[in-house]
Amino acid sequence: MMRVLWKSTLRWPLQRPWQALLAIVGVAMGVAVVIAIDIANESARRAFLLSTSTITGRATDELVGGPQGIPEAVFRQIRVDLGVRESAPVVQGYATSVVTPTRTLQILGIDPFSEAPFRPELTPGGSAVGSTLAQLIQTPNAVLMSQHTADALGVALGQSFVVSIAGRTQPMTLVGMLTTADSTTQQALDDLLLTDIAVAQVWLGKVGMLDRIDLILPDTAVGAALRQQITATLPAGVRITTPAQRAQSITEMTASFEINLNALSLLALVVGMFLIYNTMTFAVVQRRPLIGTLRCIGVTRAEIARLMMVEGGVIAVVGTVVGVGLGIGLAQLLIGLVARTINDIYFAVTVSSITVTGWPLIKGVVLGMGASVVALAIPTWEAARTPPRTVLRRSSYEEQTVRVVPWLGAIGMGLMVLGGIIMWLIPAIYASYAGLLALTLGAAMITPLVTVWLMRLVRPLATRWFGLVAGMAVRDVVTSLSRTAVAIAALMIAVAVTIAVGVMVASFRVTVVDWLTTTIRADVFVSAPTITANRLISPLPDGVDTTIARLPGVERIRRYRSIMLPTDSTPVLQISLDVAPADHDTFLWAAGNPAQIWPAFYRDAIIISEPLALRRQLQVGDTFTIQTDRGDVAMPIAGIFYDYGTELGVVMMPIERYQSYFADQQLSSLGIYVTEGVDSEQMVETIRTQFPDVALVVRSNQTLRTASVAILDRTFAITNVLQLLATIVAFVGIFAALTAMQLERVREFGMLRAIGLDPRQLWQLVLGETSLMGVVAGIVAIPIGTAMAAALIYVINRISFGWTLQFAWVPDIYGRAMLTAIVAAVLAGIIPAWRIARIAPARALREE
Amino acid sequence: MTIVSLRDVHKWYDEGSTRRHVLHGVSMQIAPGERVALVGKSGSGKSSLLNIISGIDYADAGMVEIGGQDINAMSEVARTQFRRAHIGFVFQFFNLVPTLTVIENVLLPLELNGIVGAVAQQRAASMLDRVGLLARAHTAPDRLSGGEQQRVAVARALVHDPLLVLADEPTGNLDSDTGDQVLRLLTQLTADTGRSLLMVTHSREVAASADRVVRIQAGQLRTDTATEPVI
Repeated sequence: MMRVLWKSTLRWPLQRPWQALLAIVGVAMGVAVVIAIDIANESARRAFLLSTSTITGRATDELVGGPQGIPEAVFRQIRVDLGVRESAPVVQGYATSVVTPTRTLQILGIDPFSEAPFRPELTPGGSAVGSTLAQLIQTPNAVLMSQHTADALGVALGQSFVVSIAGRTQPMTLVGMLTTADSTTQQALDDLLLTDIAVAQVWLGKVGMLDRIDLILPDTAVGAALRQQITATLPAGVRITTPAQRAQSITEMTASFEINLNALSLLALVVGMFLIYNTMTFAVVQRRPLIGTLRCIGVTRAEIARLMMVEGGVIAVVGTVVGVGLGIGLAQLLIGLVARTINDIYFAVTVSSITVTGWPLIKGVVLGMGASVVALAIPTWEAARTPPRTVLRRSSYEEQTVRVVPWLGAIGMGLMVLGGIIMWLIPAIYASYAGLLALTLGAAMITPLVTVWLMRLVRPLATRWFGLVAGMAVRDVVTSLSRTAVAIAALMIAVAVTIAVGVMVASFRVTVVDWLTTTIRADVFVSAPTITANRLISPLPDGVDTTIARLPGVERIRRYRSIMLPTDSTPVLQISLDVAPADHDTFLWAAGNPAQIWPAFYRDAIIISEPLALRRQLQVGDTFTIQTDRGDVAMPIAGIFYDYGTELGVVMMPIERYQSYFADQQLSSLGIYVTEGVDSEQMVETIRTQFPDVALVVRSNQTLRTASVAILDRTFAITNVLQLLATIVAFVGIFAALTAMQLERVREFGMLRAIGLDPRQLWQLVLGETSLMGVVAGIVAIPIGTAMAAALIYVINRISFGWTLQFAWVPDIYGRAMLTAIVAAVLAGIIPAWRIARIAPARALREE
Repeated sequence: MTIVSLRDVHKWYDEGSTRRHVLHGVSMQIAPGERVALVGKSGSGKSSLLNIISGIDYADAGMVEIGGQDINAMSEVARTQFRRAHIGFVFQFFNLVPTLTVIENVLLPLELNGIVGAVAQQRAASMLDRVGLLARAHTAPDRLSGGEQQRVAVARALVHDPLLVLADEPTGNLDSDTGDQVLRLLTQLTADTGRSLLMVTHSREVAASADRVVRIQAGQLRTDTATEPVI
């Protein structure tokens, strides 16, 4: 196209760099949040899969056992009796660094003689530098690790160091380094401690047992026959599976978590879109006289549209590029929170760095550019479509806006109703988010109508109580509706999101605290240290239960054994426990009659948690198949209880039945009831003194509840960060909007100064107007935020996690939200007010 | 031959539930090189008529021929193309493009008509010279006085050699001395180039400078006389 014409448009943002910068920041932040969440999720998933695949090596199949693992005899049987030479035993576990306790180290115990075909890069004497097979076997507590891990732990070759395994300190000696030329594998070696299988068995308390037997079976008829032969000889409780299946079922556990994070990050993008729309609307509104002139001298609609799209496109491209960079940086900050949440509630994962792949970047770029184009399209279309004679009159646009407001309001109401219907009728996560989006957009569309109504209501009062300047401020909100409404809507959405997330988290907290009060009744709890905070699956040392039961002051103990139970899809938590009649009221029932539940439970039935029932669509009376050491057993479901410990689902059965079906006599935790008059904290101390050399986590009822709530709060940390980011994006939006809006009225303000308004009155006028916008945003945000909270609590949360939550009314949240809206609006008005009050009236009057 | 030929032109505007009839069968002609002043009170239909003649609005009935072409029958795009080639505009509030320098403002119509490079630069410089602003060629418009800005607007209106120059209250935003200067310049330049000029004005002086005054009242042409006193 033409050079001078291009200049006329492209110089516009250069002459208003702050406005352009704010638009770029808006796009960049929206894109950054989406990319950061994607990269953080992807990095955690890849780190897990990478470490799984490195540890799995070239195995095609694997044998896995029940909670106790696989007896060593099975390995001999496979290798010697069946002659499967390509088989390797593995023992796995976790340790934490004593130096940095948040660092999770993976212990991998291997048989160096069987390893070569499986994991050549981990085989001592293969790539391992400075080590020999003999050193690994002969040196007590010898390990190999990567240089990077050694550096992180501050350990040199030949040096001894200490780690913590299940709360016990364990000395180790670094006898060699694991190296690989492949950087991907190198990353997978991070935080891996490789040792001899016999040593690992001792460290992890698994003497005589294996976690897994890896196999390489040919992908031929011979291999298939061998697989059948192996399956036929396996003892009950040992299954043959593939490494991919196991990894997939574990990563599927985090699907809901990832979807919810992505949805929250998209919300930031929606707010960002409003910002872009806002900025581009301003750009067009400010330039209507210019567009009118250009149209008069012969520039076509298509050329105007092209000019605006290219200018907006430049902002979008710059914003997106900056957003990608910001997103990668933000991912570095978020990865810790994501990994901690996964560790807290799903599975142990070590993520030392982020992995940037193409997909999150492409997604961010497409969303950023796409959102910008959509946001640009409306004002561009409007500018290009309007006849030049109308474009030349600035007021025409406002007249048009006022005419459109009732229609927009009606469409908004329709969208909100549609959103509600979608959420009500389609119980699917993506449909629910689509419904929520419709609700949000609908709310944004009714905002101008509510603004007009409220201002009509307020104007006479404002004039009567605060004088003419206040009346002008109210009037200005309406007369500049094309600009004020978008800014108010953007702020309203951000504040509504704050309310929705705040109410959802508060509801969760209230529900969980109530649930903890009902379910956690014992005075003292004892468990073994674990990596995954919400699952006490590590076994207690033998004899702890009987010793504690004999302690003076102990009335009774309640035994628990928790294991991760593999199923056809994701694993579930199986808790086997003692349930005395006195314990019956520690359950809250979602379905089933307690009078019938308990007899059935003691007989042959199980009880399951609400999330499991919802996920698998199970009801009382159905059966659930449990893979026991004695084979698959279908047990009837007697009742469905409320549970907020894990969304994966919980299956409960009496501990005696568990011990009869599983070759596992171990316990995971104990609940201790003290006799009347005995102090719980005193009992905690007594138990600790009783086991001076055993790593036990002993907590009083109060401490456990506090710790449980702390885990809950930790899992919401990332939600709060995203909510804050969305609010910042909205703040930038309203700041940009108000700055642009006030500065384009410099001439009007000059006139007001000329007729006698002093700078203080201009301050009042500008801040009065912006605070009114904040008030309107807050007022609309309250019902909308509440509706969004209800959607999150009753629909999205239930579909994603299967939890029934009580709706918590927390007045504080609403008060804070209102305050946020007003403070954000007032803060955003300060710089324009300052600039306007300083401008000389003569200069202002000269402004075109 | 006539440059402007209007026959029985009607225009209505929808205002809510009512239709306002703003032009009631207007007919008029403007000859090549003729300078015509269009006068009338506010709301009489002056601007509507100017908009229809320029092609930025259309007539609801009647025929509008500019340079022998019926622009009312043209598509929106064709009207725009016609305007860029054959019409020059001078606005009351100058309406210079604030992001372009003085010379770039004058270059814009040339560029829109495909005239670029040295030829365009030369024509723009020459036109600026004629309005006495060549020395300010690279200045931003907001650095100029009102009179200077309007002189740039005059240069921009004439630089691409249009058939017809339309001026909407060209002196309405200027003091009388400056207004006189701009008016002299506008009439002089259109006379020199042989272009027709249609000026909408309230000013007796402006009307007096025209060859003919057309008076419009309530959407109808009342008089079409040579330099009859107005207002």
